[in-house]
Formats: sequence, C-alpha cells, structure tokens
Amino acid sequence: MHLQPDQHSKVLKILQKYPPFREKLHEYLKIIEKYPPSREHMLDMLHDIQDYEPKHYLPREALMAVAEYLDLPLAEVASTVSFYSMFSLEPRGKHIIRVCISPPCQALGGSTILVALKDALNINVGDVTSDGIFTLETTSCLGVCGVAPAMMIDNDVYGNLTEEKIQRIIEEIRRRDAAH
Amino acid sequence: MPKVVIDGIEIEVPPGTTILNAAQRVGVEIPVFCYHPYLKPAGICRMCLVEVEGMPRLLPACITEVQDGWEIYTNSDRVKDAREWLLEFVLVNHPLECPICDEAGECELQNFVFKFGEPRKRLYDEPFKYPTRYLGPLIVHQMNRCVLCRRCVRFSDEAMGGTDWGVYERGYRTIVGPYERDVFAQKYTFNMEALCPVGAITSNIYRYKTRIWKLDFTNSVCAHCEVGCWLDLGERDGQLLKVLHRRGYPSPWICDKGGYGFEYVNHSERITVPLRREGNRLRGVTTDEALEFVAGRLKGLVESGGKVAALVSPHLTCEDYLLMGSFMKEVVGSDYLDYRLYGGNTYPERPAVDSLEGVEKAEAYLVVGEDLSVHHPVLALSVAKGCKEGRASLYLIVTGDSFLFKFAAEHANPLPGKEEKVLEALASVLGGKDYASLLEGTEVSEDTLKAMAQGLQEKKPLIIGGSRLTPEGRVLLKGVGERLGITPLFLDWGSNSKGAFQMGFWSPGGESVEDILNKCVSGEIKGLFVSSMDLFRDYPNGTLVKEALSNLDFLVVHDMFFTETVAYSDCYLPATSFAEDGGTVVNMFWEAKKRNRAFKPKDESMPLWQVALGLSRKWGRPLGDFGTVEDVTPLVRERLSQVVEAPSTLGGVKAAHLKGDIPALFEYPFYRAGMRTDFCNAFVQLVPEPYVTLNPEYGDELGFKNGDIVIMEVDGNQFRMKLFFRDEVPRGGAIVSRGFSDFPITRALKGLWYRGIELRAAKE
Ligand code: SF4
Ligand code: SF4
Ligand code: FES
Ligand code: FES
Repeated sequence: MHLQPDQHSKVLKILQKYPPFREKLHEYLKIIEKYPPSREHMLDMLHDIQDYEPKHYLPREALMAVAEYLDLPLAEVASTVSFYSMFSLEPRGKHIIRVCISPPCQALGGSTILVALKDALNINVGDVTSDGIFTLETTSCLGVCGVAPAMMIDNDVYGNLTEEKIQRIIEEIRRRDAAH
Repeated sequence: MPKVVIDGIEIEVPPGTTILNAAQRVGVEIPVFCYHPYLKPAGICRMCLVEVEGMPRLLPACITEVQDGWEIYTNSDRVKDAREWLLEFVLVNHPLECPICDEAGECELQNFVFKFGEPRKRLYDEPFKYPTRYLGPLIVHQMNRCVLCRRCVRFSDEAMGGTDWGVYERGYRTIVGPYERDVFAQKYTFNMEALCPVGAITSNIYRYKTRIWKLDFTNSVCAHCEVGCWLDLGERDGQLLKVLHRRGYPSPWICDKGGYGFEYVNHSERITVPLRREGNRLRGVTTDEALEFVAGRLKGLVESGGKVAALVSPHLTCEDYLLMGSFMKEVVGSDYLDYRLYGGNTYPERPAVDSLEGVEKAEAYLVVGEDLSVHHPVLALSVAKGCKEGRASLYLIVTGDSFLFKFAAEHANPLPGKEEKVLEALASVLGGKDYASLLEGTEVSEDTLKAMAQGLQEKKPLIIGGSRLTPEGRVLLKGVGERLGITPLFLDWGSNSKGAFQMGFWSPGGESVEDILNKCVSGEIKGLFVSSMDLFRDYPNGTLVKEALSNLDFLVVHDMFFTETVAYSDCYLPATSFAEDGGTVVNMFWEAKKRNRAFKPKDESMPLWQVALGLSRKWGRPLGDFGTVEDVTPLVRERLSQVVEAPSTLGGVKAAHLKGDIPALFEYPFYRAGMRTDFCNAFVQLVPEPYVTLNPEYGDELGFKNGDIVIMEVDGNQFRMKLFFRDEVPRGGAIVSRGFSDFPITRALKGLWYRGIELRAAKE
C-alpha cells in the first residue's frame, strides 16, 4: 500500500518529536502506517503491533505511536487497550494459554484443569513461565462448550481436557519448540 | 410536534426532545448520574430508566427521544424497583463514608438513595477496595466512591480535546484517572471536580475543612481575568473556603484560577493593619494615623512643587478607579496615573462581538499574540468548542501556545518577538504583496502562512488580538481585519482594564507606566501611590522599578502582603480581597457586572475607594459622602455610558531588545497568572520556581537534557533555573516563566516580554 503524502509527513513529525524513542517508534509506525489515521482502525493497529512483538504485548512506545498517529491522548489508547483482555501491557510468553472459566466449563471440571495447568507450569494466572515460553490466562466462554472443559493455546482450541491430556499437550509444545 | 403524557401531565414538545428534557419542562424529577446539560448525552449509568406504555423494557430517559402519543411513567412500580436495584448495585462497593466525605450535602448519590433507594444491602461480602490517588495540590480521586458516570472523562474529551484522564479496565475492576501523571492540574481541572456527581473527585484545598451546608454563598465575579466568570463564594467565619460556579453563563465552565485561586484571601501572611516607616522598621499604626500621615506627606510634596503619581492594579473595581482617579486628579492635581502595570502601552478598544456565545458562533478564528488558555482561559474553551466539533477553523500566530494549538488548522509558532513580523507577512499575503522576506528569521514557513491566508479568506473569521500586541501590532491586525471586513476583539491584561480605562484612570498626556517610572527616576515625580500589585513581580523591568522606587521621596503601598514593593514603602495600607467588597467590573466584552461582598473586610483592610475617600477627607477636600460601595455605583454607571477617547500610543514602545544568543519570551505559567496567585498555596506548589523551556530538539542540539539546571544570563545578570523540554516552544527560542514575587526574574526584562538570553549548564 502506498502512503498518502500527509500520512508520511505525520510519521516524520512524530519521529522528530520524541528523539529518545525514535527507533522503537519508527518500527511501530512502519507497522501501522498502512492504515489511514482514523480511530476506527485503532484495534487493528494494536493487534498488528502486539503480533509483531515477540513477547505478545504492547510496550509504552506502541501506545505512544498509536496515540500520536491518531492524534489522541495516550490515556485514551491506554483505556482501549486495558478494556480488551486480548491486549497485554506486560510482556508475555511465547505461547498464551487461555483457560475458559465460564459456567459450562466450570461445571465439567474447569477449575481442576486450571489447577493442573498451574502445577504443570509452576506459575499463577497472569504470570509467565521462567523460560518465557508460556503465559497462563483465563477467558470467558470460547464458544466450544460442547467439548468442555476447554482452553485455547495461541490460535488452537483444545477440548475435553483432563489432567493427563494437559500434560501431554504442554510436553508436545515444548518438544516442538525445542526442535525448531 | 409530538404530544406526550408524563405522569398524567400532558405536554407538547419539539421533535427530538428527550424524555428527560420533556420531564424537566413539566417539573417531574428523574434521577440522573451520567446526564449533564453541558455534556453530550451518553446513556451510560441507567439511573434514568422510565416506563413507556406499551414498551417491553424500561427506557433511559436521557437519550430516548419522545414520540407522539407516548404515555410515560416515571414513578411506576417497575421504575421504582429498577431504581432501587440500580442504587443497591452502585452501593455494593461504595464505602459508606458520608460522614467524612466532602461531597456530603451536595452528593447526588446521597440524595438519590435518600429519595429513591431502599435501605437494604443484600450482598454481604468484602467490598472491593480501589486505590485513592492524591493527584497533586488540586484534586484527589477516590475510586471507591466513583459511580462510573464518566462525566469527568467526557469533559476532558469534549471540552479540553483530550487529556491524560481516562477509564481503564472494565467491569468491577474499572478505574478512572490519569494514565501517566501523578499530579493532575490541567487549567480546567475544577470543572471535573464540579461535574463529578459524587465525592470521587474532590478538591484538595477544601478537603476536610468544613461542610457545605455551613457555608454562606454570595454571588461574585472572578478577579483573575477579563472573562469575568460568575463565581459563588462560600464563606464561613470570615474565611473563603469554597468557590462554586452555579450559573451556566457566560460559559458552563470556569478555569482553575477562578475555582481554586482564592487561597490568598485567607493567607496567614496577610497583613491587615496599616504600617508606617520609622527608620528601618515598619510600625503598626491606626488607620486614622496612617491616612493622616499619607495625606500630610502627599500634600507637603505637592506644595513644594513635587509631582505625585498613582499606579494601580488592573484587577480592582470601577468604584476604586473612579474615586482614586478623582482623588488624584481633583485633589492632588496629578496627571500621572495608570493601571497597565503588566507593561505594554495599549488601551482597551470596543470589540466586534459582545458575548462568548458570539465567539462560539464564528466559523473561523485568527488568534495573534497571546496564549489564550493562560490569560483568558474560558475564552480559549469557547474558541476550542467550534473547532473540536468541526464547525470552525482556527489559525494561530502565537509563540508557545500551550492549549489551542491542538485544535488549530494552521499554527504559526514564531520565534519570541516575531509574532508581529508574521502578522505583517500575513497582511502582505492578503494584500497580494511580497512577504517572503518578512518571514526570514521567524521560523514560520511560507506554506503555513499561505494556507492561513487562504483559510481566512474562505470563511469569515473572528479576529482576536492578544494582550502581547504592541500598538503597532494592533494597527497591523486592524489592517488585516479591514481586508476581511472585521473589527478585531482586543484583549487586555487584568480583570478590569476596560473599567479602569472607562473611569479615566490613565494619564491625560498618554504617558505609559514606563514614562511614569522614568519620571520617578528623573526626580520629577516625588511621591507614588501603588495599589494591589507587586511591581517587581509584574512590571517587566525590575531594574527600572528598583531605580524608580529608591528614588522616591514618598511611597505608599496599598496591598495585602509584604511584597518587595512594600519593602520600599514609607507607608503600607492594608487592602481587601475581592471577596470583602462589592463593586462593578467590566469584562472583555464591555459588559458591566456586579460583584457582591461575601464577608466583611478583615481587621483594618480597606478597599481602594475607601482609601481615596479617607485621604481626601484628611486632605481637607472630601470627595463626597459615600457610606458603602453601592453609593459610588451610580456614578460608575453614569461614567460607563460615556464615550472615552484614548490617547494615541503609537511609537511609544521601543523595538524588542533581542541581543544575546537565544530570543526568549517571558510568559506566566497558567498557575502563576492572575491576581496574587503567588499567595495561593496550591498554585505555588504546582509551580514553585521559575524555569526555562526549550523545544526538545533544540535543547538536544544545545547539549542540554530535560530537567538540567542551567544558568540564564542576561546583561551580565545570572539566574539559576531548571530547564524543561516542551514541544510548544518554537525551535531556536526559549520560553522563561515569570510571575514570581520571590524571584527577581523581571530584572532580566526591559519593558517588553522578549529578551535575548544566554544559557549554559550550571556547574555542579
Ligand atoms: S470520577 Fe466522578 S465524574 Fe468521573 S466517572 Fe467517577 S463518579 Fe463520574
Ligand atoms: S481567570 Fe478568567 S476564565 Fe478563569 S475563572 Fe476567572 S474570569 Fe473565568
Ligand atoms: S463455557 Fe467454556 S467454552 Fe463455553
Ligand atoms: S442519566 Fe440516563 S443513562 Fe445515565
């Protein structure tokens, strides 16, 4: 996509404005400048940046880049980011595990699953494993109650979970990562 | 027009009226949290649910427009039930701390629970505890008390164009407040506190001082600037404790100077008895003795052929100017009196618009020579309004604007001292003349100017000439106005410059304050009367003030505090604050407003008109028989209707003194502008000491870092200050703060607000 001339000058202006953050900002602006600077694209921009970040999170410079690009106060971007649970302001692991804690999954043992995961990974909800591979989060209904209890790892859904199955899935992912 | 029935009362309303507005018309109360008449409807809180016959669900009254034939019930069982539930939910995490909450007594939650709630609590669980944030000297935010109506956030967004204030997270974890700041003070913070329906945002100044029902409120007019907002002064036991803004006029909003800048009234350092010099000491005397002494000395000076002058703050009332003027002119026989103590040599002019509504109606604005948000804050909000809504375009020729630039279509940010050069260039563009050479050295690009000229020709602008403009600048701006067919609105310093002018409080020969001070130095003027202003703080030439005051035979100062000017005086007379006396003030649109007395003057304090009266009596030629300020008002009214011609002042001001490395503009920070703000503790905490600001990039180039300590050198005088980076400073220039009575920053100036300065890093 080609840049509109005014869009480009905007990016330059932002870069001039914050010399100390220039490099980081530049990276992010390169990602978001494909969108026109209007508010309705804010979520897309944030998603793109978060996906680009190896640690799946939005550093302060990312919020700054978006805020400046859209001419919004930083507080407003922060407000949006904190509203959606899919965004994180803290660095996360390589893989994000989201365990469903809505009633149908709970009824079928969702809480034991969560405990099993905590044990297997040796972390609490919201934390990152010491090797930086997994982040454990909870989520509302994933829409697959039919195979409850369920969880999501990155973009894959896993259902009919049991403690053994969880062990297997975790090991499997660890092995796959190591092979790479 | 739709006809509806509300609680059995029939009413016809214009199409598009909401249920809430229709109910208000027939006098039916519907409780609301998020609705506010001056904010856009949001429909967030659901406190306003009402029942409409035939509708399956209850409807939010604040955002639902009525339709013909609707039968609306605001107190049916379903509605009552909904309200009870809602209030119970709101109270789940609400701490019941009304006994220590400053909002109690004016809290909407308290009122609604009392009127519409049910005294029950069915969720016995540990309430969720949220953080309380002490956001600096102005406000405290207590999330525990927040009802999530978002009025504060909407104000910040709608009126101020977005600040560091938002809502974060969601559900029961929702938090409101600033994102990155620990101190929140943004010029219009007061409105957020006032908008908050509960005690979530409260004033730090008022914290735990008293209860609202113990205060007596008196209607008055703000004394800080010429917008002249109405204020309601809350007094208890002779202390001014709280200010409210209850009228939505002239604007629904006021600024922090009006809302929080009253602490000087109760300041513990206030001197409320007259003092008389005896050698190196000032001794307390009775008022009678002081007046006798002053009148006698002045008389002596005049009889021996010396001249006497009066320099009076532009923040007083017309009554003060009228009587003091009569005393000076008729009794003393002086030709030297002035109120323009902020410097400058312009007199007020009649405006093209007559109200803030008029300002808001314009389709375009051209603002030259003033950061409106500092010296006319509410005017800045009115200008911003149309621009924010996309109705109007804004063009700025302002060095270092700190608020309106966010809304500007084009912003020329010239180097300090070059605003009028750019204005001249603009006039040339509009006249089809060559202008490129005029822009040299201003840091303003030709493109900006061309776009500005084009925009101004497309839509008829309102032209606003700021208080920084020199007489020559005003002529230029009038020229631009003529080309576009508009009379500009010229602004002045102080809150009642227009009144002082109209009362004739100026030298008939057209002498400026600078001329008067020079005459003190030359010895022509031997006696000087100064009222309500520290010349060292505000007059932009500290060296001249010092020379003038040291050279006088006799100096009387009428003030509230022991300022440096008082240190030079032979006699000190205690002055009243704006809350202790009534009077007439004239706002920027030449509208006369009446200020009322909220409580009686402290101890021996006297307003200026009484001092003039007392002196005239002691002189033996009483000005008349006036008991209270109301007795003087008819004379003022009469004077206000007369036409007053100002003397010409062109050529009076010397060209900007700009030798030195970096051209600098000396400007008040917001919380230091206005009357006696250096005796408002909260403001002093916000801006404790003067500082220099540079554009980050320029600062980088010069090898400085944000927060460095630097030495500013002017004429061999060195000032040690902090340096900050601010985006709004033009590249290649600097902005230095002023407005400090305890720091001799005006010694760096020579009559204008611009000066060349040198900067270097301070040695550790
Ligand atoms: S702080 Fe006050 S104004 Fe802001 S959302 Fe909470 S209750 Fe409403
Ligand atoms: S300082 Fe001016 S704008 Fe602010 S409240 Fe007072 S009169 Fe209004
Ligand atoms: S409740 Fe877990 S997937 Fe729906
Ligand atoms: S007042 Fe109607 S929803 Fe808040």
